[in-house]
Amino acid sequence: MNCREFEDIVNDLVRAKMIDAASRAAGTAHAEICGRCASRLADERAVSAGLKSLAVSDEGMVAPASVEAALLEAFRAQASNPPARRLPVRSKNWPRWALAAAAILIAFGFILYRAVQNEPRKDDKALIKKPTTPPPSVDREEQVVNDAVKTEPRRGSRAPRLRRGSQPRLVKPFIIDGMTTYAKDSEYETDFFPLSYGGDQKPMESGEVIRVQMPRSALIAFGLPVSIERADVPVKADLLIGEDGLAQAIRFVR
Amino acid sequence: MHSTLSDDELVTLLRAGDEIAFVTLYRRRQGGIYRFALRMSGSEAIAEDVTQEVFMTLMRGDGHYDPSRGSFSAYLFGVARNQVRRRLEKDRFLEPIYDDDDGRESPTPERLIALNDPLGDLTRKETIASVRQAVLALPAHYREVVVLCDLQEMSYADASAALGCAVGTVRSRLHRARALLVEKLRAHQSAEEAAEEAAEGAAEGAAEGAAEAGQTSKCFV
Repeated sequence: MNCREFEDIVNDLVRAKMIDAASRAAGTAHAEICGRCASRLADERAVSAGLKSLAVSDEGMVAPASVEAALLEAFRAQASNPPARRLPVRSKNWPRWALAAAAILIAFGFILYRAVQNEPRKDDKALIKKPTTPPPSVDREEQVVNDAVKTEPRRGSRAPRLRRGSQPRLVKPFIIDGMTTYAKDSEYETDFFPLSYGGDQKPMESGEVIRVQMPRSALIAFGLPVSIERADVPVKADLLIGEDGLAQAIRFVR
Repeated sequence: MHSTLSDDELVTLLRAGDEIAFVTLYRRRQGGIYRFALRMSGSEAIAEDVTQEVFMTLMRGDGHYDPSRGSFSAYLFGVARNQVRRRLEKDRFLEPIYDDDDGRESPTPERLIALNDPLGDLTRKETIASVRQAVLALPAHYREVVVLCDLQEMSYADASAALGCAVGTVRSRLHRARALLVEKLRAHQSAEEAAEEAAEGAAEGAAEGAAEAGQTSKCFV
């Protein structure tokens, strides 16, 4: 055995731990012929003796009785008021239909919230709520609307455009006077929903109504129900186009 | 009846709300936990708090004792070790308030040292005090292996379960810790010897001075 091997076993030699007889004999023999390792062994024995004395001196030390009393009190309190058990955790594999339904509900709630937050502005009301003629006949509906908002049909029809960098914002639906009375009986499904672009809007002096086709999913954006059977059938809508070419309001028709 | 049951059987009863099982476990294990905390911290107040917190953890079932991962004793020492470390970390910046008359609490209270046979104990008391100080002066990760393996006489396997490290790590830390203890005790011994020599030198000097003064005074007579 050399000094390095002796160093590896010197702790086990003095700590009376399990060590094979051959290693013990070899370690003891090495310490007899190596002064440095003999000194190392003596130091380890002194440390072991000191630690043993310390362990013996502390042997009777225990926690004071007050600790046991406090624990017992806590144990009895817990026994009389057991902590609420946790509910068993259900499987996290939710069915897809439930996730889809939850997503739709959240989207619908968000849209309604946005609609409530955005009240129609006075300018819009001033523009739209003008005295109108008595309810017209069904075949003159569009003309009535045009009259109501003082639209001036332009030459040709052009696609409505959105202001660059801004998206139309849904605001609370407003009613064009005189239309609500016959809307249920006519081809109109909804009243006009004003579209807001976030900035200051000037009162509309004139405009035109353009009928367009849109994916039926557009109804969802306005908080309207969508029939699953007719989900892929496009929906017709009237866009109220202002002088600047921006769509100011929309209504859905049959 | 409960006293004959194993730790694991008592834990099972404890989980069913058996108060006697809890008391039996406490009385069986609290001494070791208390001494471990005391030797790790050097403070009786911390040792009491840690002991209480360890058994509160057991009572609440927060620690999730798993017999397959080690003995119940190792589990308790593991909880105690974490509590001590947390407490020492928390108290690191606090200034201790001493209760003794002189305003200072000895790090090694006299009542912690055996007082039988005062003459024979004189050297032993000093030895124990110096060993205790040397252990407390070790870094925490070395101190805990010395306390568990040498003072609590825990096996390497149980110590590794309590400390959450490999058996080889326990062995190497213990080896290094004991080497540090040797250095500290040797330094302490050298300092004491130097102090004794200085005291003897001062006494001899005083005696010689007195003798010379006596001779001088005789000459004048």
